Amino acid sequence: MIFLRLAIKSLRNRMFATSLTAISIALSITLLLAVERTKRAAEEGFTQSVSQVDLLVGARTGPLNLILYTVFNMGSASNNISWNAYQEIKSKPEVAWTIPYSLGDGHKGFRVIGTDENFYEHYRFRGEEKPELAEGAPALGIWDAAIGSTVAKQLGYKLGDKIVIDHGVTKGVGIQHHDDKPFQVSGILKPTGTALDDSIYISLFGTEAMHIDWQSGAAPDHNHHVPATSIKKENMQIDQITAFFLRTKSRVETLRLQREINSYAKEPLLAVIPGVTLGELWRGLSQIEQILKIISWMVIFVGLAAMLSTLLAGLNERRREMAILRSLGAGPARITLLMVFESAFLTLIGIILGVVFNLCGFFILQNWLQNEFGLYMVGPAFTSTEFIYLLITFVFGIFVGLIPAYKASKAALKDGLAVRV
Amino acid sequence: MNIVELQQIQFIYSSSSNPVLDIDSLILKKGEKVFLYGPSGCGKTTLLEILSGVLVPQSGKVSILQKDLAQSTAADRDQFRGAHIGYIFQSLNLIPYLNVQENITLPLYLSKQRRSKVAASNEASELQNICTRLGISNLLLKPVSELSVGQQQRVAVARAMLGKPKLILADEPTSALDHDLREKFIRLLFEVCSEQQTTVLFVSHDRTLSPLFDRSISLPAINKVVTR
Repeated sequence: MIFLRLAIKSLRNRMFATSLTAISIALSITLLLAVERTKRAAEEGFTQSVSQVDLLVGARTGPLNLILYTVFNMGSASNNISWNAYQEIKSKPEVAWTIPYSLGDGHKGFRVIGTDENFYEHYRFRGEEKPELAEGAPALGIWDAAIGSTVAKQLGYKLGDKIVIDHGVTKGVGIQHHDDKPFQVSGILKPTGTALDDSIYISLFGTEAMHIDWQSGAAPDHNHHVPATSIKKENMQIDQITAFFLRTKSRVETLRLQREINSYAKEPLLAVIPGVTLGELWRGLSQIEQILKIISWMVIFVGLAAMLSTLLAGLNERRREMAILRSLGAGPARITLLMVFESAFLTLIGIILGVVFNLCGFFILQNWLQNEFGLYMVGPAFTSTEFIYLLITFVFGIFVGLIPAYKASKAALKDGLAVRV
Repeated sequence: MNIVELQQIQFIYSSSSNPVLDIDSLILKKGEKVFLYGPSGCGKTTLLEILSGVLVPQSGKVSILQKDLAQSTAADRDQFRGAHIGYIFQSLNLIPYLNVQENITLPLYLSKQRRSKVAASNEASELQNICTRLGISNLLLKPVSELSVGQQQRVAVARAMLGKPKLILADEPTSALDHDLREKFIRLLFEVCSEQQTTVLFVSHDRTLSPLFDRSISLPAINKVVTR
């Protein structure tokens, strides 16, 4: 078809300028898609910092605070839950499982979490992912500790290393140490890109054992000191935990159970739905994302403006070409089509290149983003949102072509001769 | 038979209030080679654009090959021009990114009617004939940028003539050529046109060319609009 050949040859004739235009559009598209993808990955990663949990229960505080200190290792709990209350809720028929958390101690700036086997079995993040051991075994014995990957990397711990836990401190180095009762690294967790990496997991018994001879928050004196060797699981009584995650047998029970826990008479408790609270928190933090999106739209706009100016500048050179085509019987409609085809074609090339750049870029950088930023590219690479963005860009590209097309079709043959020799 | 017949035409560009052309009558007969001269800016190109149906006068009759262009739609006029009229500009007639052959055969692809006059099997031989006639048959596959100005103008003639249009409109096609080449070019154009009984309207400001033509018309003499 002559028309297509004409259009393509014309583009090829102006290869340098047109490929620059296509590339500038491609880069804009790449940026827009990258921002969108990163945003989605960050959002998914964030709101699914803990997943498959229906309720998160702690002593009464703000919902955000509860989420922050249990899921993100930030801030600290104001109060604890009694073991009895925990047991009472846990044994309700509608509860499938629970993961208890006992917080309050740290090790060289990393948080120490007392929990039990349910953590290794039921804890999930980003949908289906679970904490897995790179080596060793879960911390189930009294003096066992399973450490997160960042802890292992930064402190250089190996299996069997002894660690001393600081009392009551989760950031920085504590003043009081549980140096009479050192723990032993029993396992190292695989990297997850979540706060799990920055934590040290011990058993609930371990937390209890550390503090067994402490009284009113003070270290024991000589008379009261209980040596580590004499502590046995069997004769130990746990009397409180900080919080726990809860999964119901049937999702429909969640709201009712939440109400029930929130109005628990014996103790002031708070139950939140983690997904909901995380979503709210994310929306509060998402201003940056909005700004990024606006910037990438501006980049797209600049790309298209560059295309418009290339087309208009090219049109000046092409006036003679247009006059020749007019003199040979090509009507304004054909001239318009030629111009619009050009801009649509360039936009399409730009879009395709942009998508390719984007997919390749993320494919290549995926590991680096995971390792350096904990940014996991979860979710599909392409969603309807991206498709809509690309469609808008394409339509806009066509409209950009209409402007020089209108000018060109208005020009008479005389314009072809405007440059007198 | 009158190939061109203008009656009482008046033309005003929409952007100005002064008419550019006001002509009572202009008639070209079949096979005539007419020279139309006048100084720059007297409306020569505008007249050619009216004759080719790019512009339409506000009043009057524009009959080309017995078809009234003033009464036709824009699309009709474009089609008509593509099918029946060969147009030669003063220079830069060729599309720079097409080679010589592609430039010459371009009208066949833009107009079905023009195409139908050249049977597909004959396209190559017809192209060869006309190019041999014009002395450019060895240039067919060259990019047009490698041609001299004289060669370019001959390619433009070949394009205008292919498909045997009835009317050739030439807008100062020799102004980019030096003096010796001008006469040679016009004689060559006439030879080719005579073979096909084509009517030629040749526009120029250079009156020295007028003896070569059947008839000469001064545009200022027939245009009632007083020009600067």
